[in-house]
Amino acid sequence: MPAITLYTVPQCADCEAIKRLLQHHGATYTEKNVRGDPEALAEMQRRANVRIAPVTAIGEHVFYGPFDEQRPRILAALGSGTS
Amino acid sequence: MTSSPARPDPAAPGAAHLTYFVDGMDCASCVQKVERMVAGLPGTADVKTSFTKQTLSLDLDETQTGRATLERNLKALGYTPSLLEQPKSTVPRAEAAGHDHSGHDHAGHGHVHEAPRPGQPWYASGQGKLVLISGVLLALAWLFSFIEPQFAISGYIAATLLGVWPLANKAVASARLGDPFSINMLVSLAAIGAVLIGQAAEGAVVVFFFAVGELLEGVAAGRARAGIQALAALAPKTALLVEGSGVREVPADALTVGQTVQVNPGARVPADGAILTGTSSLDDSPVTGESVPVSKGAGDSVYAGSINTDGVLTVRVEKAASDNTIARIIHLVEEAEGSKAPTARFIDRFSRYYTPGVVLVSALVALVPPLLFGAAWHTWLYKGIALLLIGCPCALVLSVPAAITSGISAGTRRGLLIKGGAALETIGTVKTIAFDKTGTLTAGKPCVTDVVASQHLDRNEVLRLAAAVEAGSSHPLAKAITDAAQQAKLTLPAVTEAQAIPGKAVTATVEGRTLSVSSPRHAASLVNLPADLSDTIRTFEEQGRTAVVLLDRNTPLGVLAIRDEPRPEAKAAIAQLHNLGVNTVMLTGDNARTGQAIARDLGLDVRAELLPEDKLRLIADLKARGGVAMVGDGINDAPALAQSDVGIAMGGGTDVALETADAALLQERVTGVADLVSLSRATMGNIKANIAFALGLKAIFLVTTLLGYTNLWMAILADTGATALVTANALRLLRWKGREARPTRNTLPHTTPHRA
Repeated sequence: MPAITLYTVPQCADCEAIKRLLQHHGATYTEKNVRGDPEALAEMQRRANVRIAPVTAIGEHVFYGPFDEQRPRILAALGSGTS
Repeated sequence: MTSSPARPDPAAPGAAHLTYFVDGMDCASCVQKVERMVAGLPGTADVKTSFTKQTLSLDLDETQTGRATLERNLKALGYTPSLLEQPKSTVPRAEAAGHDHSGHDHAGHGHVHEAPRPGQPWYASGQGKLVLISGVLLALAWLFSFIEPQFAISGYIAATLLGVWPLANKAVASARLGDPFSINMLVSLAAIGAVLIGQAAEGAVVVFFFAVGELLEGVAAGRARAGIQALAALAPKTALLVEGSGVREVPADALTVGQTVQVNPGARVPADGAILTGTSSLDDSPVTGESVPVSKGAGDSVYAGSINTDGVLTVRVEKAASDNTIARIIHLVEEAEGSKAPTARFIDRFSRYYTPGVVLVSALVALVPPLLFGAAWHTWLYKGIALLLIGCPCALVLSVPAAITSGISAGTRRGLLIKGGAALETIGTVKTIAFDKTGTLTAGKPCVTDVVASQHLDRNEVLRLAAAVEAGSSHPLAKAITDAAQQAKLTLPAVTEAQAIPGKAVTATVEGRTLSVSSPRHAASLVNLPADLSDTIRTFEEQGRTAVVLLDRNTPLGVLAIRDEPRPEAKAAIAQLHNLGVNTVMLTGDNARTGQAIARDLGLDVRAELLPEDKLRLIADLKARGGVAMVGDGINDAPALAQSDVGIAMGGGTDVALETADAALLQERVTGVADLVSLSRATMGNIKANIAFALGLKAIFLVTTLLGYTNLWMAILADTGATALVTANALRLLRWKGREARPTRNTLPHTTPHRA
């Protein structure tokens, strides 16, 4: 299983949804709150080149945008990661 | 702001291409909210958001919507735009375009209250300046009314317009988002109406007091927040770093994970960490609100800010200062208090009926008598506007947010962390509270209570073999058995070919024999258990213990009984909840007999032998029947917590618990649940009393003013008085101490929570 990092901000519905999704699939992930944490924000920008959460990094794959758009890609990445 | 009026880029004739960096727009739902608002403005086109740069770019026809209006609308939503000097021509296209997910958490309401930051005096905030300037204008106008009434009227009009401007903007912003009947709209209408009928003085005073009310709310929130901030100050500034054989004093925020610090008696712990050497009693009150010291030894966790009452400790630092428990709690509470949407929900719902009602009644009063009965226009127009003015609810807008902020702060100081107004509002209204068993109602540390040997075996021999089989397993029951063997000082033989059938048995080869430790049901499916052994097992289970059978192939060797003791205060907590009129139920995956025995002891209902999906189904069921709060450890039962109306995590500040649940009990005490329920009810009671008081006063003055017994001025002054009283009443919640009658808390000998 590749390492999963989730970059989030508090009170963010899309972030919560992705957390639930990952939990639902039994994936372990590291969450980083980028609001008020310049280091995490810099890391997120370095990996995804975006400033807006949520950003999901699964191994080599990095996804951003709203939950609806990320969901199928996350599921695909999780599927290929386990096989 | 950097909104310097640089001339629009002449790229598109009539339309300027603008790019803003939008502070605060850092989540996908925020982006959606901003895009929807901006696209709804007349004269906007090609609205794009850059996820990369956190910027918003658009083509804006400034003859239709001014740049200032756009910026104010953004601010009204809680985002601060800064215009970028160079409009980027190659803004990367955001992925966000065209997505559509259910409209959650949009702040459709108008008033964004800025609380003064600690250290910032009230008059330095934007709201404070507004109040000061319009107050000065009012005073000047009043003075001029003695000298030259013409000037006075201009002064009143100026003060009214100044005060109404921000309100009207917020009202328009809300109206664009589909909420035309905000409180701001009502106040704006009333003030403008007052100017139109030549009563600018009244209008100015109403607007002034409305602004004062909003300012007071900010001050109240700041005061509640200061209480929490004070907690942060409890963490010491310096630490004694252990280096080689010596000790050196260093700043606490320079500590890094893995360093070792020394904590002397009477000093405060400088960082979150684990005790390496030493034993002491620690007062964890900054983190948990529990002031009775807890005895801790090597391996136990300590929190930054706790007081080391006796004994010298060395502690391994496990969290940097910015990330320690107390910092996270403060951050979460600030988030909770700052989350505007849930805090303002109640008042928004309310104003959706109140504002149109007042406008309608005023219109009827102003129009019907002159039109139908030929009464004098001016008299009735005046009465109509008077109604609008009286209807302006300074006291009302204050009552909800001030009370919620105070409630959250009061809870935090008692170790009840509530993550937002919505959770605080809901906890007191649920009909049922569901508890997870292991680790919530029980201590989560099972131990072996009995060993029964069959045939002529020695009891220690049964324990020794069972422990050997379980040695490789991390299951809590396995740990209980190996711990018991260790306590009995038994030397465990080596095992080979250990394997587990999850939930049923563990099998291994020990000293040449194939042994297994099995659940009674699984054992019974393999062999015929002797009657006396079956009886023993049933007896154990009826006593709330979990039984396992040790088998040598198909020969039972003995039975071990394991019990996870209920927390000492659990029974009292359940009784308290029943006194509050809340149903309680225990959800467990354990077998029915064991579950029932524990539930019977504690006095609550039970649903046993549940699979995780059964728990979710039950929660959904209870949710439909009057609401349910779920109490769990926040780690194993996160889905159930998420599914319930309010998820309450028990756990001394673990990340997961703090993150997943709506509320967390920082002291691991079940009685905190009852405290949460009563705090929620106290807060909602406070809010309802405030609203009833403010509305009642309005109703009285409405009638007496229409009948001519009181005039507009008296009504306005009464509302100001009500504003002050309502604020004071809300701040009273800060002193909330829980229910007074609390015999269990004071007379129980304090049992310190142990950490394994």
